[in-house]
Amino acid sequence: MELAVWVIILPLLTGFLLGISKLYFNKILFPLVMSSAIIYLYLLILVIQNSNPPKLYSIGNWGLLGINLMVDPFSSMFLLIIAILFISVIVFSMKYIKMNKHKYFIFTYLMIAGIAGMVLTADLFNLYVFLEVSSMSSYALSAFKKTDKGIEGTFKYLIMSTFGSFFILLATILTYYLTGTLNIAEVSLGFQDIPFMIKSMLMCLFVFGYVIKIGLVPMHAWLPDAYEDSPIPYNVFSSGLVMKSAIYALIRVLYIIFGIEFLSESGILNIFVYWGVITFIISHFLAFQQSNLIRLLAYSSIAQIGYIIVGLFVGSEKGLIGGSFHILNHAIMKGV
Amino acid sequence: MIRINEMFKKLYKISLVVLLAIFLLYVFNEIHDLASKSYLSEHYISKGVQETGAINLVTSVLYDYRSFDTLGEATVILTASAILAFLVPLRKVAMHGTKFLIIVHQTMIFIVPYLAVLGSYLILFGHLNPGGGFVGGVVLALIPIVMTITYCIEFSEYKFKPNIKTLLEDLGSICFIILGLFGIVTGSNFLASGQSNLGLGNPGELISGGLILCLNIIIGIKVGAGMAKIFNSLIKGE
Amino acid sequence: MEILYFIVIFLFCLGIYTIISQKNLIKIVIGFTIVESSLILLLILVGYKPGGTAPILDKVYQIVVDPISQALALTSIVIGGSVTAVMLMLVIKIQKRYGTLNIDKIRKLHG
Repeated sequence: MELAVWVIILPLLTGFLLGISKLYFNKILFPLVMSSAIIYLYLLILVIQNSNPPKLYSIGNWGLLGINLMVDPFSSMFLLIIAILFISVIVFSMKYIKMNKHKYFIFTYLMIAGIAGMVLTADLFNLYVFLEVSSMSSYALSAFKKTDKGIEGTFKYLIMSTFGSFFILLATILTYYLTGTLNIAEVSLGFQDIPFMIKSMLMCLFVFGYVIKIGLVPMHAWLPDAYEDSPIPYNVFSSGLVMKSAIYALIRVLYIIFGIEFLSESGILNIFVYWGVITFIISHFLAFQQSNLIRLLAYSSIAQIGYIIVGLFVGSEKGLIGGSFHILNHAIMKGV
Repeated sequence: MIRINEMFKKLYKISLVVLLAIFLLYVFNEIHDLASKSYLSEHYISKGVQETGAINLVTSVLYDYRSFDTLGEATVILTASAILAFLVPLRKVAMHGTKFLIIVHQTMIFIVPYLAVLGSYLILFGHLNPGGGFVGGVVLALIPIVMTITYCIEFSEYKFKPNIKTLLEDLGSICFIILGLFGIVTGSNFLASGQSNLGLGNPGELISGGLILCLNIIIGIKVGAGMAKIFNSLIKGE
Repeated sequence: MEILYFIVIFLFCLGIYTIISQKNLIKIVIGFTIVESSLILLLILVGYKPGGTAPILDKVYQIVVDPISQALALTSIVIGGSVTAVMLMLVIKIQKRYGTLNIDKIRKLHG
C-alpha cells in the first residue's frame, strides 16, 4: 500500500524538477508535464479502486507514535474530484497561458500536492501544515497577472485567510493540551471524559476558523476579489478544490473528534442549516446587482456552498451522502 | 455627526475584542482544573535515544518521528521564495548607496569566516547539542545578506548568483525525497530512519542516528538559500 | 504560572484589535506578527513541567520538558515568517501603485 505516499510525493517531485528545468533545459516543459499528469491519473485510479476496507500507512513505520496516512471511501471520493479536474485543467492551460509558463505549473503542482496531503492525513498538526502549503500556492496563483486589481484582491484574500488560520492553530494547541496526542483517532478516544462546556467552546473556535476559509456569509468578502483578475484555470481550481478541501477538513474534525451524539445534543447542526439557507438567499440577492460576469459566477459559487452545508449537516446518513454528491456535481459544473 | 459615527465604530470594535478576551479567559480557567495526560511525550523521553540514536530529543521528534511536517515546512519556504522572485519588477533599480567608512568594510571581511564556521557547527552537531538544520541555515544565510548591506547589491549578486540559489533549493528538496525513498528500498516505509535496517551507531558520537545527519545538512542548505533569496527580492522590489 | 496565561490572552487580543482597527498597512502587518508570537508562546507554555530541564539527554535527568511542543513551535515560526514576507511584498507593490499606505484611499473594489 505504498501508493498512498506516491499520491503526495509525485506532484512535489514534478514541481521541484520544473524549478530546475526553468534554468537549464527550457524545452523539457511539455513532455515533463504531460507524462507526470498521465502517471498521476493512473495512480489515483489505482488508489481509488483499492480503498474499500480503509487502509492505513505509517510514515517511518512508527505505528501510532508517528504520522499516518489513511485512505477510506470518503477521501477517495475527494481524490476522484481531484482526478477529474486535474487532467482537464492541465490540458486547457497548456494553450491558455502564454507568459511565465514554468512558474504557473510549479505553483499548480504544489497546490495539488498540498490538497492531496490534506485529504489523506490522519494527524491534526499535519492537517494545518498542508493547509498552509495549499493556501500559499493559491495566493501565488491569484496574483498571477500582475495588474492592480489582482494584487489588491490577493491582499484582501491573504489577510482574511491568515486570520482564519490563527483560530485553527489555537484550537489545535488547546486540543493537544487536553489529550496529549495528535492522532485524530486517539483524540476522539481521549475526548470522551471531558466536560461538555469545554468541548463546545473548542468546537466554536474550530468552526469560526474554518468558516472563514469556506466562505459562508459574513466572511465571504474575499471571494469576488480573489476571482477578479486571475487566470481562468485557477478559477476552476479555486472554486472546485480549495474551498471544498476546507469543508472536508471541517467534516473530518467535527464528525470524528466530537462524535455524533455530542453534535446533535448541542444544537450546532441546526445552526449550520440556518446559516446555509441565509447564505444562499443573501448571495443570490447580491448576484443580481453585479454587472461583471466573473463576479456573478463568484456569488453563484457562494450560493452552492450554502446548499452543500445544508445537505451535510442535517445529521443523518442520507444527508452526508447527498451533500457529498452535490460537491461532485458542483465541481464538474464549474469546471465546464 | 461624523465624530459620533467614528466613536461608535471604535466602541463596536473594542467591544468585539473584549468579548473575545472574556471567552478565552473562561476557556483557560476551565482547562486549568483538569489534569493533563501526556503518554506520548513520556514514551519519547524514555525510549527516544535508543530508538533513534539522537541525544537531542527535539531533533529526533522533528526529523524522525514527525519528518513529514518538516517536508511540508520546507515546501512553504520554497513557495515563499518563488512567489517573491516572481513578483519583483523587471526593470533594474539602484539601491540607495550607503556611505560606510572603511572600518566597517574591513570588519565585515573578518566576520564572514566566523559566520561560516558557526553555521556549519550548528548544522553538523544538530543532534548532539541545541541547534539543528533551521538555525544553522539562517546563520549561513547571513553571509549574502551582510554583503548586500555593506556593499551594494550588484556585488552580492556577482558573488552568489541567484540561479545558483534556486538550484540549491530545488536540489535540496529533491535529495530530501530521494533519502525518503531510500527507506522504501531497504524494506520499510517512507522516511524510515529509526525503524529501517540502517545501523544506528553509538548515541553521543558524530556519526549516529541514521538519516538524521544527512537530513540536517540538506535542510540547512535549503533554508539558507531560501532566506537569502527572500531578502534580495525584498530589497530589489523597493 | 497563571500570569503567563494572562499575558498570552492579552497579546492575542491586542494583536486582533490592531488588525481590525488600524489604517496604515504596515501596522496591520505588525498586528499579524504579534498574534503569531502569542500563539508560539502558548505552545511553549503547554509543554512546561515545573523543575524540568531542556530535552537533551547527555546525562540522566529527573524531569525533562516535553519535546513535541518545541518541535511544533519551530514549524509554526517558519510558517509565520514566510507568510509575513509575502504580505510585505504585496504592501510594497500597493504602495508603488497608489503612492499612499492608507487603507481607506485604496478601496477601488466594491461589493
